Amino acid sequence: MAKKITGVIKLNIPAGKGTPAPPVGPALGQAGINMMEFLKKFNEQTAPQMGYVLPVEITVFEDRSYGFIVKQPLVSDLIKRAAGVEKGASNPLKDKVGVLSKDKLREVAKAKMKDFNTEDEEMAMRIVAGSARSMGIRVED
Amino acid sequence: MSQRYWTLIQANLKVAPHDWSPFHDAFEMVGIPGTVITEQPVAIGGYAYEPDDETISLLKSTLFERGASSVSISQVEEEEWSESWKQFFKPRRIGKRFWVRPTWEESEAQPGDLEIVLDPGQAFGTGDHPTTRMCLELLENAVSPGDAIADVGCGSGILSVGACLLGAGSVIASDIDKASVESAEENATRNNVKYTALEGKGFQVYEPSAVFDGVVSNIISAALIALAPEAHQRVKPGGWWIVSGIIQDNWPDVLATAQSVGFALDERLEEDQWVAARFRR
Repeated sequence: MAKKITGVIKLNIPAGKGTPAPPVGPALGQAGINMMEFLKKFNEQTAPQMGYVLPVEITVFEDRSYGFIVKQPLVSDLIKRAAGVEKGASNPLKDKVGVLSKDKLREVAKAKMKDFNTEDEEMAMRIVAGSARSMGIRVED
Repeated sequence: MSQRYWTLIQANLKVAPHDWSPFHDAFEMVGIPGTVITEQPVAIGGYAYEPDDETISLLKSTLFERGASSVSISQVEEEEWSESWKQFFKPRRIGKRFWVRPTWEESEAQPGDLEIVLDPGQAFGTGDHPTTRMCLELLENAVSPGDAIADVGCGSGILSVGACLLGAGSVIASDIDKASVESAEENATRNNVKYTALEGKGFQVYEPSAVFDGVVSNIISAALIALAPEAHQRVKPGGWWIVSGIIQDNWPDVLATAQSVGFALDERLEEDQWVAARFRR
């Protein structure tokens, strides 16, 4: 019989640089899972993607064992790289910090389609465009 | 030790967005590198250590601009979570002679055992993990009395303590993480051994001309690969380099790099998908 799942922890952590500091410590500590073991594995596995922030989903089972899946880098990271900006705008309605071309938008959308749980490229592009706009990055028509 | 408090800033939303990343980006903008997403409440949160008012207000306004319906701020005592890992740390025998135990457990060491007593704090290295265990085993067969040793990526200092107990003449430990350096220093005192612990990356904090009978690095594959050329320069001819923290899939790359800079494989251990090895120069 499959083990009973007691929780799913969703974190965004810099690749290869997970530490016991928050948010990892509180999230994993509360779930009662072996944080150091998780971090060792996460850092080793994700070191090649150093520089990106990666979404990770940790499934915790009844017996405190766990499994985890690392997803593609955050959309915001991919957008910033594609648009060549370091950070988004704190006031995205007023300030525009960069431009994302249609081609780049498609590239980011394609990379994240699986994580968005869709096979519809247009839908994925709409999600990415929305994220870009809310960071003050203009999307080319 | 005085209690430390972290500030949890949480952006609450009415419904979960398709993509949380613009919110994460808002945290990153004020220097908070990691976030946690919850479903009940629908929220994304990040922790800051003693943030100033300006940081909080910039973060709050950015989160609102990006669609948060409310932002809540609370204080979290570090104790609530920082001790939880302790349940996984039990006394255990490692290799032939080492006996590793946490400070809060009774000693079970026998005469002749080399006992390491640890409180790793927030640092890596309890002896509980295969990567650390295998390193201690490899050290056991490598250290000769009087050896000069470097521990690059020392974490809690467990390997430095082990090297001292095996009779090393001098040990210099280093780590990129400040908390690890502090933990390594405390563990030296706790075990009545002497070594120097330095904060810095790779060999950057070592004397440019310093060479060693042995270097031990329990880090991650990518860091080991980057470290290999200098490790070779820093190890005396006939000396050794112990590497650990390698997932099986990455082992071929580490081996190929070590060999390409002039190391020969001496011994390789494997446990639970992790590989550790000792190279000779």
